[in-house]
Amino acid sequence: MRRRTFLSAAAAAYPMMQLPLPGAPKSDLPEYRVITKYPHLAGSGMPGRYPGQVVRVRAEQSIDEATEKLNVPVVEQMISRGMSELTGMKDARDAWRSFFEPNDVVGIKVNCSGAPMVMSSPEVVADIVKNLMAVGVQAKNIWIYERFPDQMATVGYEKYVPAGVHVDGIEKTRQSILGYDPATYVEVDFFGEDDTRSMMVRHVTERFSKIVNVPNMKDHGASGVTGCLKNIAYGNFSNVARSHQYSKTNTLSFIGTLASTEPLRSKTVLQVMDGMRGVWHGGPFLHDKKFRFYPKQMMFGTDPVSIDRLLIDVVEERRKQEKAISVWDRSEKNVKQGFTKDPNANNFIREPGHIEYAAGKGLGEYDIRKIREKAITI
Amino acid sequence: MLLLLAASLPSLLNNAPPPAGCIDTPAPKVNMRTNVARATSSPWVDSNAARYVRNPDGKYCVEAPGKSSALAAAEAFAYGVTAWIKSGDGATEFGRMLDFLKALPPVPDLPAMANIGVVDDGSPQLQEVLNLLSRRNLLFKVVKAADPKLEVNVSGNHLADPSKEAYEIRQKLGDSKRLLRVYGSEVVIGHLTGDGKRVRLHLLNYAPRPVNGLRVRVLGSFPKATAKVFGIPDAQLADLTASADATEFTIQSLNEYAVVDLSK
Repeated sequence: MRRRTFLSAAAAAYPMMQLPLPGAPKSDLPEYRVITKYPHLAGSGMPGRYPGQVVRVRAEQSIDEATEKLNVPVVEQMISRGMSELTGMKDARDAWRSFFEPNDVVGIKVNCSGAPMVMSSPEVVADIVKNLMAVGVQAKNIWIYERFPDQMATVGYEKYVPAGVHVDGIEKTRQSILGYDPATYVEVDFFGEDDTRSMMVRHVTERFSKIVNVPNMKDHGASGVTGCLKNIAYGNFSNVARSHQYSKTNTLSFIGTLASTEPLRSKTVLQVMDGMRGVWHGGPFLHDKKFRFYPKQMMFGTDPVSIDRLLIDVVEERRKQEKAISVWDRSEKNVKQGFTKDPNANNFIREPGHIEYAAGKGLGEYDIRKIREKAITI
Repeated sequence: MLLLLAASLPSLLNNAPPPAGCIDTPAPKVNMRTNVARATSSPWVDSNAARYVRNPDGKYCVEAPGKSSALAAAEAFAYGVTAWIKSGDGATEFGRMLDFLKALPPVPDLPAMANIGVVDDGSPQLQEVLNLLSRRNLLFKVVKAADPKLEVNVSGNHLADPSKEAYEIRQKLGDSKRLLRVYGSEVVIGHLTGDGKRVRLHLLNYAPRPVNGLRVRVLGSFPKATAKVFGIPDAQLADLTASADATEFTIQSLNEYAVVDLSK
């Protein structure tokens, strides 16, 4: 899937630029210019302390499909077990302590594009907050955030967390760049658009010391699936929707490029995939309840590529059950303009290969034979 | 060289007869064509910028009722043309803009800055190419013959697709050489005047609502910068940087119009 190799300049050099190898064949991949003054912190962030390792915790009792209610004690147990198994520490508090310190300022990147029916569950987020505070992180130093406040408002995270915890939508008005850092951006011209910059969320560059990524298990009309990588990439930059036009999407290379941009890469230290609910078609939104499903599982790790590699199988399996075409289907004949509820129609030629591409950027392990999955059932 | 008539202020023309030779001109605005299929999702901007640059000596009668009279006045002022505004019920908005324009710090007439020279072949097709160049902030001037001081010169042989032609001109120029870049909005058009030591940038927002956050890049190093933003008395530029290559800053909120003065 990787069609071009990029050179990365030395970590200390800035602006950091990625250029095609001299003499490399021209391909249809766009050319990116990454501008950041932040160096990569070796060993920190993605793929982090546990490359190629995923802990999957399943619990049939985690959600009541009829009422949509999460079973909070079970959810807390899933998180506790997941963190313990990931770190090898018996006491989950020690596991959290191994990632976070009391003086940290922690961003929790949620996903609300499918809200209010499919999103980073407020119960899951509340337990993450509880564990951070148990480590000593102050409420005022915890920020639950997402790009669009209107989507966040439908969830109401503030009702689930202690006073003082921030719940913040970055774009106070749609397309406003005020919440972004104008000095940290990825520049690329996809389709001749004049605004060629995607700027990083300013909290990430200037406020947070660490980030917990809390994506969902969802199909995605452009990127094939949306999990850790898509949530951390498109969810932390401005002006990203421009990467799709007609049947073409540039998610293949854009997601990995954004996710690997510093300091986002080094600060994203923990991945907690919330798969209580999922979307098997039409993602990232939930256009119709019939496209929702209930994987009833969570995945834990520091390697977003490995988790997303396993996510492909979850979504594909469900789509097979529903007799829908594969997320890997690239037939032009199946591409229809505008969303259709036909699960055998695509909006774009999808790019689930973005996960392998991200592996090529050093963000994690894609080879299923090398991924060490520890599966637990509660 | 085109000189901006910085002191020329637009006038109000309501029930009075239009002056002789006045060119009927539409109101500047974003045209919401929600029922028309389009090739792109970019908003359709109705701008008179290209018209004014192509014919700076024209006299224009702009039909700009209501709130649009303020933008129409600012647009004519920015490009230094003689204009009368037919505002209908928009006399108050027009008056507010006129007060703002009168209060701007005086500067000597500065020439318009451009990357691109376009030889006017008189073709109607050229008007749309010029319109797209201005909408995309590809600064041009109309020349009688190719000007070697400009990075790109365009003459004749227009493509059937003006959008493609404008993009090819941009490609020839290269984004890094562009005198002006605007990030964070597709509905703001800039006009740049300057003499190398000082620059005045006019920014026009064609949307009916403020643009919250506009990043601007001006080629050249200008560490001193001040802004006057219509409707925001104490506006400050944010995140100002001046490297050897370019000056960048953010305007926090842009109503119809702003003027930014930059100097060495």
